[in-house]
Parts: sequence; C-alpha cells; structure tokens
Amino acid sequence: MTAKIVTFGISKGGCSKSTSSGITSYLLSKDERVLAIDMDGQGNLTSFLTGEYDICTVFEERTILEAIINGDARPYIIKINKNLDLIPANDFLATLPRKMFENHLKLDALQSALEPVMDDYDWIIIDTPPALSEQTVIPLSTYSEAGSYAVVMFDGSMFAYYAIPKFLEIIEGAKERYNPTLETAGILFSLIDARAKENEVMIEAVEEDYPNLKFDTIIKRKASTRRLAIEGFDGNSELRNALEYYVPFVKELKKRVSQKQPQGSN
Amino acid sequence: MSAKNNLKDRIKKPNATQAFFNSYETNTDDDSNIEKNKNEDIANDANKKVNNNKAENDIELKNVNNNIEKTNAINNDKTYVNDNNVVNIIDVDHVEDDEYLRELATGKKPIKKKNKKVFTSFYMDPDLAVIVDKIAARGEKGDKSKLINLGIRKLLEEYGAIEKK
Ligand SMILES: Nc1ncnc2c1ncn2[C@@H]1O[C@H](COP(=O)(O)OP(=O)(O)OP(=O)(O)O)[C@@H](O)[C@H]1O
Ligand SMILES: [Mg+2]
Repeated sequence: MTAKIVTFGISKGGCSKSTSSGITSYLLSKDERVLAIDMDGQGNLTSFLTGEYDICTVFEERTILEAIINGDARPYIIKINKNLDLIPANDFLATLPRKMFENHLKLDALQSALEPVMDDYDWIIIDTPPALSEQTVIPLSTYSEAGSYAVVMFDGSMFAYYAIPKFLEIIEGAKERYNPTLETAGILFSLIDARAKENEVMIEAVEEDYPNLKFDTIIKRKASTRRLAIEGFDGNSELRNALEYYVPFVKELKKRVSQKQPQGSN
Repeated sequence: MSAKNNLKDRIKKPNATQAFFNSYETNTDDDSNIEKNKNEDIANDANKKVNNNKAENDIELKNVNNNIEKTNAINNDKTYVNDNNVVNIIDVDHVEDDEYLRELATGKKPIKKKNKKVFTSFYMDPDLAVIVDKIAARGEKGDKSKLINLGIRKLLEEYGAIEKK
C-alpha cells in the first residue's frame, strides 16, 4: 500500500491548517498508519502532536529541513503513538530555500526524501505555512501513486476568500510542473462562528465560485477544539466534544479521495 | 474553446505563482553558478557580521533611547535628532575599504573593522540643532557626525572621562 498525500494549506494565516491537519492525522491513525509532516517553521503541528513547545532545542537538527536536504526522511521520523508518526519542524526551516539552492534541489525535493517510506504509511498528512513559498509548494509537488491531494482551509473571512483562488493557482502550478495527479480534495470551512451573519453569503459565494469543492462538513469554532492544543488527545475528558465536527470531515475526506476523480472542476 | 483558452492563457499577466515556479526552471547546475554561490556565501558571511554588529548596536541604541524617554518629560524643549548620516555601520576610510574588499575578493573572511560608527539618536537643544544643521549643510555626508563626535570628544577629554587622542 502506498500512502495518499493530503496537504492542508491556504496563504492566509490562522485558518486552522495546523489544528485541522493535526486532528485529521490523529483520527486517521485510529485505523491506519499515518505520517504527519510539519512544513511550517512555526512548528505548531509539531507542538500540537508532541506537546513540546521548546521545539528549537528538542528537535535540533532532527527536522523536516534535514530530511529534505539529506534526501531521506527515515532518520527524522518520530513516533507519536502506535499508528502515528511525525516529522517535526522548527524555526530553522526558514533556511530551507537557501539550503535547497546550495544543494541544487528542486521543488520535488520532498518526493525523494519520502520515497523510502512511501509504502510504510496509508496517509501522509502535511501542514503548510500561510505563504507562497518552498514550504508550501514542495508538499504539493510531491507525487504519490496512491494520489496526492490538497485541502484548502477557509475561515469564512474576506481575507481568506481572496486567498482561495491564489492557493488554487499554486495547486495548478504544482500539478502542471511536478505532480500531474494532484487534486483539490476540497475547501474546508473552519473556525466558523455559529452566529456570524455573513456565513450564509460566504457559503453561497464559495459554492458558486468553486462548484463541488466545498466539504459538506463545516468545522465550527469551539472552545474545546482550541483547548486540544493545551490538553492534548490522551486522557482528554472533552475529546469527543472537541472532535465533533472533525469525525464527519475525515469520513468525507476519505470518501472524496478514494474516488478516482474526486472533484468535477479540477 | 480550447484555442480561446490557450490565447487567454498566453495573454494572462504573469502572476506570483508562475514567477515562483519559473524561478526554479532556470538551470542552476553549471559550475559558474557554484562559483557564484560560493562568493555569495562569503558576501553573506560579511553581511552576517554587519548584522551582528547592528544587533549589538541596536541594544545600545535602545538603552540610549530609554534614557531619553525618561529625561524627556523634563526636557521637552529638545529637538529630536535622528542622525542617519551613519546608517551604514561599517564606516571605514578608503584604505580600510580597500583592505576589506581585497579580503572579500580573494576569498578570505574579512575581519570586523574597529573604526565603525554606531547609529544612535538623541535630543538636542533647538539652537544647537539649527546651527549644526547649517554647518553640516555646507559640508558633505558624514560631516554632521564628525562635528558631534569631535565636540563630545573634546568635552569628555576636558572632563577627564576619556584619554586624549
Ligand atoms: N475549530 C476550532 N475552534 C476553536 N478554535 C480553533 C479551531 N480551529 C483552530 N482554532 C484555533 O485557532 C487558532 C489558529 O489555528 P491554527 O494555528 O490551527 O491555524 P493555522 O492556519 O495553522 O495558522 P498559521 O497560518 O499561523 O499556520 C489557534 O489558536 C487554534 O487553536
Ligand atoms: Mg499553522
């Protein structure tokens, strides 16, 4: 079995990329083998899954940066639980573009690094930073026989609304040049305030602009979801509540990516 | 339809995403680039040095500013002077410039020059600010700093706070 790659992204900060990719990794790992990859120097996914916030010290020279530069992910994989592994990131990821240039690496650099472990997992879930950069483009440029997908995060704001077409453009670019089978799995509404008046308008606009791309599941803003970053998953008494919207999302994601051509428009 | 799309694609304005991908299409594998790369490294190291200096100086600057803030409440008839004649931290003279560039060009790591200026800002009495600016206007870039430095140096020598040069 080869891993399906799912990259979470949007070039707008704070749309729940790290939270959603972390929870998705956790939920998928209940039945399948998952490798989560942090491609953001903020290391939020790393902290989220390990509970470790001193990422520069703890993961010094043991991150995705070294995995990419050395062209082999294996030495940098750390175990989170039985089915869940992680390749962490820390602030030094900022040096990636420069190091790639020095080492003559192209945007398919993650591809080579992951090749040796591609068959060890069912899923590779990747968190990206909110920017058009190597850290974002490299995951999208990573091909997998089993399929490579992007989840576009959207928080219902005007800023994020304008970031959607730009992110779709990045997906197109990666698809054209490096990863011909890349697909947009969908646009995920997250951090949605139950009472915000503009929700309906945004939903309509996105449905009209990008037919069939919106996930049916909408992740509402929840205090218990936010607290996951503090409480962690293990022994968390409000876990069920915190994951309420993510359970149906992961189900939907699995369904979408198991279809050969999940999306009409892409 | 597809011909039309094709045309549309071709006249489409280049965007950031395309520019990003294009930047990876150029061939970086030839030797001239490796050479260039190395030189850039050296230049970068030099830059790092400058930046380090700057960081240190920034700290000094902050302290100076803090003090100014404190005294400002009383001395609010001062003129704020931001002396940007010396923004470039390494302000070496021509001989040293030459030495510095020679080391850079021959691949040696250039050493920090002691003769650098520290960028700082402070409050001046308005009458002094006016006359200093007038004098500086007659001179060239850097003369204002020279004047201030000389003035303070003379005073501090007189006070015995520093050794005579
Ligand atoms: N469903 C949710 N309910 C409540 N809070 C949430 C939810 N999802 C995310 N958050 C919180 O919103 C904030 C932003 O989320 P997160 O860090 O996951 O976004 P991001 O897109 O990864 O940000 P960045 O662009 O900086 O990487 C965090 O404080 C997170 O805890
Ligand atoms: Mg994040």
